[in-house]
Formats: sequence, structure tokens, C-alpha cells
Amino acid sequence: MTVRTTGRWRGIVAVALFFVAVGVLTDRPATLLVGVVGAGLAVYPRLSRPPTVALELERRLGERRPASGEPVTVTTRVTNTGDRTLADCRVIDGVPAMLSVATGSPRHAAVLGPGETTEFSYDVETEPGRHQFDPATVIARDVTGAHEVETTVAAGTEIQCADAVPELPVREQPDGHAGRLVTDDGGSGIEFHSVREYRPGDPIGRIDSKRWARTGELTTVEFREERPTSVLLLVDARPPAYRAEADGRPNAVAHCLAGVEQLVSALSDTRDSVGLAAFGRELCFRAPGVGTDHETELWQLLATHPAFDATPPSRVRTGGGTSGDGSDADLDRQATLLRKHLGNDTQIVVLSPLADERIVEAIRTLAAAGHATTVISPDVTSEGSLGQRLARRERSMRLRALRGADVPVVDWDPETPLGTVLLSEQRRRWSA
Amino acid sequence: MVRVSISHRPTPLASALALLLCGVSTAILAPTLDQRLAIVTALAGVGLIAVRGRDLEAPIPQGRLWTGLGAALVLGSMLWGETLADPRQRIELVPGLVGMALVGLGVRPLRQRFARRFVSAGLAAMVVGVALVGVFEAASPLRLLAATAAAIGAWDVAEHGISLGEQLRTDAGTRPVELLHTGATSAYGAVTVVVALVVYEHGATGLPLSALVLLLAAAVTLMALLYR
Repeated sequence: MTVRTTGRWRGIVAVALFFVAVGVLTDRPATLLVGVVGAGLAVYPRLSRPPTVALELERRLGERRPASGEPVTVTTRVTNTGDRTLADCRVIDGVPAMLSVATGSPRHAAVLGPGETTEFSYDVETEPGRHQFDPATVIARDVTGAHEVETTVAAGTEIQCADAVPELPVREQPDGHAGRLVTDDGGSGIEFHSVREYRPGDPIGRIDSKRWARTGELTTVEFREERPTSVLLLVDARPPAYRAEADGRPNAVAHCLAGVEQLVSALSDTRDSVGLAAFGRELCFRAPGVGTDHETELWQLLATHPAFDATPPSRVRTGGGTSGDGSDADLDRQATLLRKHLGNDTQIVVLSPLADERIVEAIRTLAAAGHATTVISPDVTSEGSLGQRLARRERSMRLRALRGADVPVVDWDPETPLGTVLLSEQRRRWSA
Repeated sequence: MVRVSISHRPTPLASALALLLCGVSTAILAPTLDQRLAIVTALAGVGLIAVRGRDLEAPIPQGRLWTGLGAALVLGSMLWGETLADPRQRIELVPGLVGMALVGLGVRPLRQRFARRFVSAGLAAMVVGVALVGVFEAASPLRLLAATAAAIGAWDVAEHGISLGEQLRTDAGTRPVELLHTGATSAYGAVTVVVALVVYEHGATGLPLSALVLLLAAAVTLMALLYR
């Protein structure tokens, strides 16, 4: 909750002084008197205090589990639970970053007496995945407009749209325990690999009984070993990544976060260890692990950690750009910390729009350090102006550079669901 | 996906009320029928500019036509005011019309960043008009007080509309808030006018000079303290 003075009445004192001066200089008492009106209006903001805000928010959804693409009507009701009238109460509802408003407006202003409720509704277009509504921002002013109180009101609302990622294809890697990754090493498993001579101590169940019955030779069947993998999902949430295709569209970090949520859902259904990390405002790192507690921790991180915020940091919003040096040093520091904490056998899946060169370098360093790295990159470039076409060319050059360094890159057009894109990639390339 | 451009412009109701208050302020200063006709014409012109200027998607000749017509009406009224025979009528009318035009430009807005500056400039013009009338005409206090209160009210309502537009955008429902704010400011302005008149009637003119100077010094100190 921040309490501010808006300072909008400041100029009126000058008006009053002006009239007093004119009245004195020209000896006109009537004009001098006008200064009194000016002074009276200058005192007006002092007569009121900042409002006390006690509000309750309730949201009703037309359809809790809509089909993708169907618009959902959201009706928000705000109730004044305090005992004073709020003369100028402005509510800005926290629409999830990935959803666009189709009709109506999520913003509303009302005069709320004690106990009064105001209601407004709007339609949102749905996207696949689970979307949490952010707390609504409320800006309340007193009747003079001189004092402003800004606060947030929360009501946990969620829209869940059918998840579209059935399975995350994982890459080959060497490791120890049984899991989902079917490797090329012989051992215990399901799929046939090879046959070798029997050694004392081999499990009886793996003796090839048909051969023994036919030739009397004892041989052991080797199956392709199945191992679990350790996957770290790394989100690029640095200021240069907060790019969007156009004003009002979700930015690339919002797309990456939506993708990460779908991947965490998909991976939690398997026995693979999943970890979460982010480069951005702060380094976030949760080492890969399994189990429901770990999964809950990951969801909590996604919901609360400041690095996973889909709204751009204020210096991006106001400055319109990013300072070069500060964020470079940050990225180096965060990448070094990440490498220190990662185990040797963790795969990394990076979600980044590849908006600048620094992240490409960081990815190549991670890949060179021995981690099997994959990149999923939402394409938020467009073909409008010359600058936009240049950005698109630069991005495709970065993709090519990464693919040349043996890092597979999935070029994801945000219009198509992530699941479809990954399945087609799997069919095309990753037949591990 | 439908691409909707959402406007940050000042909300329409507050803008309309502000322009109306500008007209009222100028009309209080300018009592003759001719002048009031000029005020109404200028108000219509400014209204055209402010409304049509919001229509960004209009094709060039059509959109510019209405703005041109509005500008012609406003400038025509100002020029007519300048050519009035009686200089007193001129100073009553022209600064008020200039102020109205500036507030209209601020409310349209001509440039989003300078919206508040245009509106403040409009208030300054109207204030100068009131001061000129007070000096050259020795007008009655009621006219001056009411005109000033209306001018400051117009400025306040316009700025309120600008801040609502910035925070909530024009497609949000904001009517009750604007009406309450306008009503509150107008009521308070009326109260200060009445208080000032009562003070005046009860013999402020008969005070000796030294008392007046002391009163003045007290008032200036108070206002300097209020400036924060």
C-alpha cells in the first residue's frame, strides 16, 4: 500500500498570489478579493485526508475449464468493507499475462459508499494452460484528488485450459538409474539390444531360453537400458527478453512462463527430476528433484519468485530500453553461479526469445561445460518496420549459430500450442 | 485476433464538463448577447475539434474536415471578438475564448504529454482575463469571483479527466466518479465565493491602509506555507 500526494492543486496558490498582487498594485479591492477565492481553493486539498481502503474482490468466471480459443466472461465485484465512502475508487483487474481481453475493459472506476458493491465484466480469450489471475490494483483518491492510495486486492482465481504438452522428448545422456530415457547401452530394460555370452551371476530371467533349448548354449539377452533424466528448465527473464510482437500482445517472457508451466506439468508425470532456474531480476535456482513436495515447491516458485514476473521491470517500461553494462555483468554472474550449482549430468532446456547476443553466449558456455542443452524460443518478431525486420534477421542468425554449435533450437511460433511444436520436433529429429 | 487500439485520452464526460465550465466562466464575465453568442460558437468549435480529434481511424480528408470546421468556428469567434467596438467587451471576451481553446487542445489532447500543460495554460489565460476585467472595468466582485471559481473548476475537472484517462483508459466506466468530483469542486467553489462576498459586504472596504497591509502580509505568508 503506498500513500501519495498527487500535487495537482499546487498551481492554484500561484493564481491566488497573482490576484493579490494585481489587486494591490492597481488598487482594486474587488480583484484583491478574488485572491481569497484562490486561497480558499488552495486550502481545499488540505481539508481532506487520504482515504482508508478496505476492499473485497470477488471474481466469477463464465466457464472455469473452457476449450482453447473460447472467450470467457469474467465478472468482477468489488465491495467496500470499510465504513467511509470512497469517492474515487479505480480498479484495474489483474488479467493473467497470457490472456488478451477481447471485449469490455478490465478497468473500472466507481464511487463506493460503505458496504456498496460495484461490478464490471469483460471477456478474455483463452490459451492452453493454467492461468492465475494477478491481484487487482486499486487506486483510491479522496474527493479533492489530492491524496492517492495505491494497493492491491487479491482473489485467487484460475482458468485452466486443456494442457497441450503430452510429453517432453528428452535427449540421450549417460546416467545411472532406471527411467524413461531409452539409451543405447545394454543392460536391463524392455527393448531388445543384443545377446552376449552368459556370465555367472546374470539374472536367470534374462537367459535366452529359446537359444538354450535349440543349441544348449547359455546366453544372456541385453536390453536397452532405461534411465531417468535430470532436466533443468531455465527461463530467460532478463530485461532484453521482455519483447512483444506488438503493443498489447503478451511479451516473450510471458510466453516462456506459460511454456515452463506446461513443461513442469508434463515432466512431473514422469520419474525424471525437474529443476527450475531463471536469469533475470534475481537468479532463481531450484535443483532437479522428484516427488510431490518438490513439484509443489516448483509451482510455488513460479507463482511467487520475482524473476518469474511477466510484467517488465519498471526501467524497461519507462526507459523504453535497457542499459548495457549492468545487465551484462548480472548475466555473467548469474550464469557462473548456475554452473557451480548444477550437477554434471543435468540436461538444460532454455526458454528464451533470443533477443540479444549475451544469452546465446551463455547458452553456448553451458553446452560446452558438458550439459546437453536444448533451446525453445518463442518468436516474437514481426515484419512491420525496417527495425522489426532487422530484429527478425538477427534472431534467425542467432538460431543458426546455436544450431551450428550442436544445440537444438525449437523455433516456436506462439500462435501454435507448444505441445504440437514439440511433438513435430520429436518426430523430425529426436528419435533417441 | 482483433487489434483494438485503446485510448489513453482524457475521459469524454470530464472533458465536456470542463469545456462547459470554461464557457460559463467567460459568459459570467461577458454579459451582452453578442458576446454570449460568440462564446457558444467557440464552444461548438472546440467541441468539434475535441471530439473529432479522437477519431484516429477516419480517412484523411473526412477527419480533417470536421477539425477544420471547428478550428474555423473558434478562430472566427476570436477574430470577431477582437473587432468589437467597445474595448471593455473585447477584454471580457477574448482571453476567455483563448483559455477555452487551450483547454480544448489539452483535452483532445493535441499531445498526450503536454495535455496538463495546455490545460494549465488555458487556466492562466482565463485568469488573466478576469484580472484585466477587474482592473480596467472595476467590475462587481460577484462577477469576478464567480468567473474565477468557474475557471479553476474547469481546470480541476479537465485534469481529473486526464488522470482518469491515463490510468483507466477511455473504455472504462467512470461516469459516477467524474460527476461526483465535478459536483464537489463546484460546490466548494460556490461556498468560497459566498464566503468572500460576505467578508466583502461586511465592511472590508472601510479598513485603514495599515490594517490592509497587515492582512495582506498574513495572507501571503499563509499561501507561501501552503505551497508544498
